[in-house]
Amino acid sequence: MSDGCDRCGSHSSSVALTSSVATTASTTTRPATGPGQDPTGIIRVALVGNPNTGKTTLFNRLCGLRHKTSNFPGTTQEARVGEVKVRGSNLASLLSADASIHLIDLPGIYSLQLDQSEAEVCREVLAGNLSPRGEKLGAPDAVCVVVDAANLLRNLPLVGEVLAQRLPTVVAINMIDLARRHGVRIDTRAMEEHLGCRVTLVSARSGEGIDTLPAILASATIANRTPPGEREALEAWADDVHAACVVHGQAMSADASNPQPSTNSTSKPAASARASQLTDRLDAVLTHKLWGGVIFAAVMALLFLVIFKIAQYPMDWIDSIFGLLGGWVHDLIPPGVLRDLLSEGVVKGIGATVIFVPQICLLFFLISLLEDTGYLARAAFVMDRLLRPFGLPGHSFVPLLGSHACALPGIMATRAIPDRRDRLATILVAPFMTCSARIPVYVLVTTILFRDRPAMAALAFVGCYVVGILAGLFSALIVRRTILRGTSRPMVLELPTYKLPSVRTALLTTYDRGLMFIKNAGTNILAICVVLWWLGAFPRVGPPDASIELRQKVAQLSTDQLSIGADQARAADREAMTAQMVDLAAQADRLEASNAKAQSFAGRLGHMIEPVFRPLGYDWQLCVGVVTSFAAREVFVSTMAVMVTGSDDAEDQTVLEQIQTAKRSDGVTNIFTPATSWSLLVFYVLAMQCLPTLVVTAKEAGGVRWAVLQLAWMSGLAYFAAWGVHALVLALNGS
Amino acid sequence: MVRASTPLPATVALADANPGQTGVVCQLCNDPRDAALLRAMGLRHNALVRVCRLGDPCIVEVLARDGCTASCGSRIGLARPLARQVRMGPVPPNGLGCDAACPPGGCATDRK
Repeated sequence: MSDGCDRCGSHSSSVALTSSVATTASTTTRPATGPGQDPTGIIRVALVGNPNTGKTTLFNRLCGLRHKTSNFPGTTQEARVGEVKVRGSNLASLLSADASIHLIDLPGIYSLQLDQSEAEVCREVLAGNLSPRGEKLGAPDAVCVVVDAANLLRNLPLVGEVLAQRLPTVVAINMIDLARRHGVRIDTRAMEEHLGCRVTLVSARSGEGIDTLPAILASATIANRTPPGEREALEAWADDVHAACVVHGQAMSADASNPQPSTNSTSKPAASARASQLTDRLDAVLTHKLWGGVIFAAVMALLFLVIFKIAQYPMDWIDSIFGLLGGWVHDLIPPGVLRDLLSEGVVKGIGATVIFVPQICLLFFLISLLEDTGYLARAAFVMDRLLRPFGLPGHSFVPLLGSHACALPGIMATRAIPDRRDRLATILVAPFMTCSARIPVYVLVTTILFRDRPAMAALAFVGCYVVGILAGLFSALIVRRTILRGTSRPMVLELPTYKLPSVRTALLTTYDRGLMFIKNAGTNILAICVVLWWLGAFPRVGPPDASIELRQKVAQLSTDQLSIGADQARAADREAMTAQMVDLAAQADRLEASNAKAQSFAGRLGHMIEPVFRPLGYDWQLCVGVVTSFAAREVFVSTMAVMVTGSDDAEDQTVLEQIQTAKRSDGVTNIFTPATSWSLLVFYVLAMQCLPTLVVTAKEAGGVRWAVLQLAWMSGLAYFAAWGVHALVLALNGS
Repeated sequence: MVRASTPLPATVALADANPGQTGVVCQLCNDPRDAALLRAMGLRHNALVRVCRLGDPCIVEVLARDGCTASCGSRIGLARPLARQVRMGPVPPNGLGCDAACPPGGCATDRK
């Protein structure tokens, strides 16, 4: 029996390889151009494999940044298609000049026969009934089955299932370097004879065997042997192949032909024994009822601390850049609709999107690192104990926690949840978590409610977070007992080996997610911002009488100032006049902005929907805030600032005071009474005031109906809860 | 050294075995969908397993059958309800399986 690694050199040429397979297995070798090449010269290769076999790392190694992420039509399964770089003359001799290999990264599965959405996608792709969005429909030209060198026995039944599909197939035995360290030896020649297809050894992490893999894929052949289809026979076949081709450690030298089960620990390589002992100890602590939870809480706290602290810098830079850009557009373009559209609609819209990119990228980078260490699989069990009573799996925790930064990456992170119902339930309740966009609203309302009582304001702030979490869990319970009814399957998860994370993989994941966010959400947010700008800016109205009077006063003061001339004795008068003019002009600006907002379509809408929100205590001005913040919650604060004061600087203490004391149309009652404030706070904790989230929900859940349901449920819950709170405070407080 | 592998004295539910014990999977009495998944994950009939941790989750290591008992298989975490439905027995001396060790009636007996 020969060691697989000894054969690496002998298989460095794809030509030699092809002839080898043809000789040993009598397979059908593809002609030089390959029958699978379509007229465009593209060879489509599907990447299939068990989870944790390093399939994605191999994909990244082969394609790098030359890939795009979409989904399989009609599913929520992510599809990545990458272009393999054609290197060297070996591949060039097999392909036409303009040919390339398109690698389709399929979801990790344990078996094609399983009743899982991932397995269904793989079945359909291999049958030619499904292709990633934008790709040609039809069976792939070849399949590359990625298997774990140290865990071949478990992987072989899937190899058998793929071979039974009668597609040109290559088996790539990955992580061979790690397996060698554990004393695993694989006879690839024997395996090729048993499987009837090409078998190659690779290490996606170290790069071993990667250079020759594209050529091997291009010359893939249909196996001349078909493994049994029945599960039991397939497992027996896998046993036979494994026994004939794989030897572990000292057992080979003792008796390689008699693979008896042995529990004799003395035959274990010492390094493997130590690794196993360490893994046992780590697992015991990390999945412990108490310590597992404490460690998980600490890890997540650190993760989000890092996200909030570090992401703040690039977010500030982006904010400044877009501020400068808006100013530059404002100065460059003559006054008019085009200038307002570009500076207020387009630049602000893009800026509002891009500002979240640092948080999203950092979140995915850190989660990818954590996942790669093998820790997240253990953490999922810790959270499973807490979330399971509410019908959510442990997998939901990271998406829900991520939603505290922003629901968009949180919802995108639900892709890691294997069960469809669990995933949908998580998507539906994720926006209940308090995202950073709610914070400005919480700050405004708690400050109004608890002026000069910061401890109470902080308590109310924390209460908002708690109410959001409880509402999410309560909603999950309802959803799982109604529309997503069904027994929640107990959790079973492969616990990957602990290892140092790959920064390269994390960076590629981050790039992928960041780009996807900008492409998917950015365009929609931009469109929404432009529409909102239009609603708030049109129709154009003239200045109100009060403003005209103020402007006239300014003009009069200016004339008076000129009449004074350069008389040194009246310098103090001139300065006082200048200050008065600035103050009057600012008042006129605020009046005009407030009037424009009131007369705009958004303002008219506020008047129109006022009866709907009257039971909650909102006047038309608050209704405008609710309407405009439908695109993004934080818009509420700036809208209120504009409506009430004409200035959008809500951080200005004077503006805050003005908002707090602003009157309703009767000129007597405050807009923000205690009852209204509490009602508003509860409304913003629960309401689905984020259009981009709805767009992402529709995309990720696989239909607009889920977004509509989310909107209806959250808005309904928010409305009735706010109504109840308003009535309660009125009853207790009287105002 | 790894905790010494202790052979199982008799057929027991995975959830009732002791940490460190090694045995073979005799029967999967789970829901067919769960059983199919466990089987595909390597917890199949006659699979050699070592119990690493009991409780929730129950963690087992599926071992290669030729002497490599560390880092040569996969580690699987199962929620306790699943672990209760997996029966494992002692490793037979001839290494051919555990049919003889399984109780008559198997899963049906367990559910009573």
